[in-house]
Amino acid sequence: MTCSLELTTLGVRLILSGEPDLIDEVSKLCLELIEGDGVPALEQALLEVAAGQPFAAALAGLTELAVSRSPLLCIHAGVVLGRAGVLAFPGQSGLGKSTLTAALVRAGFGYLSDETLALQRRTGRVARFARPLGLAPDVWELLGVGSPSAADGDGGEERHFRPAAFGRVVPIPNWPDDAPKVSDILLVERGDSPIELHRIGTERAVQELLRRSFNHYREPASSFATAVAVAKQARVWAARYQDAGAFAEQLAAEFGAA
Amino acid sequence: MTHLSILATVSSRYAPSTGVTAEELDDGMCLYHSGRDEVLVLNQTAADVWQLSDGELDLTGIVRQLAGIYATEAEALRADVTAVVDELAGKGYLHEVSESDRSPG
Repeated sequence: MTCSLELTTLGVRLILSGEPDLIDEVSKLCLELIEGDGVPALEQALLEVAAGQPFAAALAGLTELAVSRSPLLCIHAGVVLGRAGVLAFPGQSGLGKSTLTAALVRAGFGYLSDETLALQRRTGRVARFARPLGLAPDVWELLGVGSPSAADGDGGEERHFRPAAFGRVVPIPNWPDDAPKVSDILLVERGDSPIELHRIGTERAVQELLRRSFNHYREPASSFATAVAVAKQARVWAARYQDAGAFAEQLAAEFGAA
Repeated sequence: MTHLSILATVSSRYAPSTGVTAEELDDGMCLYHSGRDEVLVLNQTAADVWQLSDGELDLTGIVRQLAGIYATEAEALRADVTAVVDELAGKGYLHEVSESDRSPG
């Protein structure tokens, strides 16, 4: 799948071979995150980033542009909504955030993002960045969205799924007034041991939120204050798990799905 | 830390450096240094030292104040306080205040 640009009488439109609607949806999400809807220069920048790219690369490029330009404090994290508020698990690429996010949404949590905890700096309210979830074939069966044998090519290729394949996307009809706040921050690790979940100090969350931030350098003092305020209002947990599905079920029992 | 470094700092005054932001936590404090892009977590004792490093009190004054707060002998605190100040100054979170910085205003 590759993207191309097509000029129409309605303006420039992005065409993605095979998935034209999906990349349009992602572009719209990016514009929301940048708060640049209706700004032609930003719309053009998004188109140029995605043009000619395979879908995964287009998604990565669009996301990078959006989080770097967003006025919100954007932190690399999986983000879902539970009964008490937002659960966020910041972490580096390869941690399994998308898999855990999908498992949590299947377990009844609301989907906000598999990539970015986007915080309004003044209030700490959480914006939605509900991208398609990129999952490797070895987790499709676990999450009930297909069999690894259905994978393209050598079977190792990641495939992107609309969030609705797993459950509910959280509606935020009136940003920021209707937006939720963070109730729990989980610092997660994968491991062979049984599931562990215990409370830890606020300072660990502050460090991790800033370490995983995409754009704190734009407004360092405000970003620091936001990270501290969000960490202080939340419960902070250290967690270790092996199986994302089992861990998601435990979190649903512990925190209550939305 | 050498004996000399302690002697060199007892009468020195320190203040927060430019670009450093502090936020209180339940059991301590977090500092962010924008130049280093680094977060430093202080326990309650180190946070007390930080808050007293306002450019007015010298090291001896800080030790005396903390001895009063903790109801302990000043000498028992001096080495720890000096170590905290040395570390914060060494990492650029504090800077030494010169007499010209303290001109009456």
